[in-house]
Amino acid sequence: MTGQINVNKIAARTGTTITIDTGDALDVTLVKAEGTATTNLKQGLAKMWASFDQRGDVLGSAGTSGDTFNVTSITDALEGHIDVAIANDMVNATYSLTAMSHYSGTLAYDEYSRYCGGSNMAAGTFRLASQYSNGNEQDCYWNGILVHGDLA
Amino acid sequence: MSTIFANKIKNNQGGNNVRINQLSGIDTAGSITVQSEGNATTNLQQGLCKSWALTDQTTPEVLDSFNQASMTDTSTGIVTWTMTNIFSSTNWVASSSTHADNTTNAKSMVHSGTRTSSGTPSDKTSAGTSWYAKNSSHSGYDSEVVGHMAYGDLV
Repeated sequence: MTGQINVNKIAARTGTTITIDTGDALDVTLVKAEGTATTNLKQGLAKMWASFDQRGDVLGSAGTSGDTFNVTSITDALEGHIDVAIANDMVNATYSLTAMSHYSGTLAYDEYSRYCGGSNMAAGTFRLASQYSNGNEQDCYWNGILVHGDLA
Repeated sequence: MSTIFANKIKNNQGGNNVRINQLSGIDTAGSITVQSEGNATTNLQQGLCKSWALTDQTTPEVLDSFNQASMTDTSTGIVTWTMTNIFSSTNWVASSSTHADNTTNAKSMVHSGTRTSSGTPSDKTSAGTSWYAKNSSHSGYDSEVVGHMAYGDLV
């Protein structure tokens, strides 16, 4: 049975929290933004994010994932290259991918940022490459790996 | 205006969608607090990406985007972005990532960011900006995989 209640406000009966049951999904498109405009909740959510330590200077051992969201695996593919597998795939390969890489991720090398970018983009996977300024691939500390776009 | 007071909203069959057409805060329309993964709370509106895009500048072509009104291939390595719903100031946060080729083991060798002049954003407005991608020789470079995103306060 489909139930529908039309109201303008839903306020907490007690306290300040309204809970949506864990097993239910909230299906909302429009959200009132900071001013007068509205924005799209689904489009505004990051669909995947991660950090990955290819050298092990930050997380203790080479090839270790840090915090992740919606990631199946991150693989140390070869020097300066990592492969990321998304758990719940994107609908196609035209999602927006941004990432940053740093030689070490440590204060001792704080000025050693690296060239990086994504390639081999598919709905469920992509590859990131990091290079030193002389063009050589180099293992690094990856942070700010972010995907925005449409889930399948 | 009608108000319902409740602490829980549940689909009457469970495990299904609870549908709402548009969410606004009651006390402040553009501010809704969301329980985070632990004990802390976070702000729904502040955490939303307000615009993103994937562009192939070699074509040039916008492959997918959100809240983007236009993309202009201004010159080699430079794309200029405008938004449909714009920010309330120029202090929004931008991030980009660029790869020269969308092929196996290709080298990135392109760095990108909002276009600046002596460290000052040269054409960043509340409605968009130019993004400048350069190769290792610091020359403008058109890339196949250009990801952009923007966070901040909409008007």
